[in-house]
Amino acid sequence: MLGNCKGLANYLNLSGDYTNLAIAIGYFHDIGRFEQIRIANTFSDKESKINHSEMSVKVLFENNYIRKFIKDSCYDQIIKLAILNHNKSSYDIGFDNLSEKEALFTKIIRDADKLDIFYTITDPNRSMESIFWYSDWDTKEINKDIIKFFETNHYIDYSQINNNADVITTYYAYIFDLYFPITLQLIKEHKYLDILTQRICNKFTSPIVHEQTKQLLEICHKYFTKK
Amino acid sequence: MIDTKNIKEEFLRYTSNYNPENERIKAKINHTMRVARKLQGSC
Repeated sequence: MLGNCKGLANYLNLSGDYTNLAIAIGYFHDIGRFEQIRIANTFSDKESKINHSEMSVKVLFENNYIRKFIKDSCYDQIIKLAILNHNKSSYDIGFDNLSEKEALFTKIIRDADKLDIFYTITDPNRSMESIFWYSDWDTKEINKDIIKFFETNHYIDYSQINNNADVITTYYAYIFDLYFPITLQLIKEHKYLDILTQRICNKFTSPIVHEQTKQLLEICHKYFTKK
Repeated sequence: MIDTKNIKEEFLRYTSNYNPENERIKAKINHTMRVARKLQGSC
């Protein structure tokens, strides 16, 4: 059993400076969200046509606001790239073009962000309406093509997501988009996927959606046992 | 040298410019604080 008080940075054996850099990126990664909601009254990048990670970089680096947070500019490039990459599809990041440190901090913020998303979506105090994207809950099934593609590729094509049942697959797909064993371990330890499955089965009325969700859980459990 | 206490204070100063009564804004601030805490640890 892992202790609760150690942070991801400790588990990854980062030095003091790099631990602080990881924490800083944690504070910065979504800072553009506040301008996004002010301008467009939504946190949806699609609806607002605002990429929130690009907005975060704009907020921090336009007019050198970053210097209020960190005096030294030597970390600027790592910070920029980690923020810009935190919400990209893993296939679009291009790790080969990143330095070792740029790649490391990109991976760290992506895992930390997802870990908290699992906390959020399994929080009994958070309504399912605030987690899912659409207002219509009368969906009978998850698009079978999405499940088939997910089972084979462990990846979701977001352009295929058209209703709340389809959205279910996006959360299970996060499991395959993690970089550090400790993140997967923490997700297992907190039983986030089991809790999420239960919440989904309580919310959706369609027995087909229930079966499909359990199928997604099974795919993830198989992956867990291999890891 | 990165001072995470200063970063947290500046982050909270920045977000105080946005409507704190808005539940979505509050949730986003809390998310950021939790992500930072998950990286830092609590002891």
